[in-house]
Amino acid sequence: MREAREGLSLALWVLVGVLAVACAVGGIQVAQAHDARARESAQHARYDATLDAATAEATAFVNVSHETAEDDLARIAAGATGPLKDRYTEDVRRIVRSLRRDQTATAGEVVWAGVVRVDDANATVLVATDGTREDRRTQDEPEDRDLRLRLRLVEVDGAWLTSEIQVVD
Amino acid sequence: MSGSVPLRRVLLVLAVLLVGLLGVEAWYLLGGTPQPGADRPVVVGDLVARSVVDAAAQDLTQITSTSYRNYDDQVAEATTVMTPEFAATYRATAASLAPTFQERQREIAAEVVSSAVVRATDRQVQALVYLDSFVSEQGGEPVRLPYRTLVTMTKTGHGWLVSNIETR
Repeated sequence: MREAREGLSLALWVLVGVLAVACAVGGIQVAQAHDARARESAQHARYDATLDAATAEATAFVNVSHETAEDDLARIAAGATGPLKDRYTEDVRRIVRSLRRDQTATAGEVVWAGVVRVDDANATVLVATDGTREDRRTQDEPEDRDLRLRLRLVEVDGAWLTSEIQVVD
Repeated sequence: MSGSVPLRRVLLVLAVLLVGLLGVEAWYLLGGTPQPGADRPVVVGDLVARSVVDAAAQDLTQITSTSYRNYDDQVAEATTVMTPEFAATYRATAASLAPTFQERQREIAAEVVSSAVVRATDRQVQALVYLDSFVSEQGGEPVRLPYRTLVTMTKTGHGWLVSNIETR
């Protein structure tokens, strides 16, 4: 009887030992999986953030009217950084004069946007827009203006700002 | 090593707790993959997304590069990279365009300018492809037509296949 009890105790010790080792291995795997998921989640969030920022900037870029030029250009500058921001802050008066002289008005919307590449500091995003443009040359009749845009973005203090807008001809 | 009843109870309780902990660990490790939503358009790794987008761009080039010289062969070849449902739609469209290709001796050479991932899960990827299409008729100079194309790729038992193409 005593031998049986000791045998049961030994079996319990072995079981607890095996379970403890399994829990330790599992704990390491959980920690690794947690880190990997955190990195993936951060990267997935970057896709969303850069697409949102690029969509907003492209929308501002294709909606500029001589009647609301200062506000429209300020909207572009708000989502921009670097040389692009400089252009839409320092050259505002010249651009506004040009828009008013030509009676230019553009309108448009984003059709599709996709990420070419993104890391924790930089991103390249393609944005396809549909829209129109009218000015003195078109005799104030809207002409189709469907664009293929490529935007470069940089992360600045937690926000994604556009440093370059390129029209892909 | 003691074989007392209290110790065996402690060991038993410990074993039950460890089994519970193992269950929690297994639940976490086997937990489902994130689903796409409005705030998570891409829920696969960069390498997967990029490789499927590259495949979409390559397939689109193959599908849109056609010639009156071997139109039927090219249509048949193109359908090998499509899902059966989309291939049926494509064959119908291609058949309706066949007379125009022959009459005008039309040839199209497509070239990818750039490509990007719009949405991606482990089952479906949408790629935005900027495509230049060089169209020539009756041996004339090619005219470049710039397109924006959304290619939908669906994972099937035969790999990633084109399941839809929208062009603007």
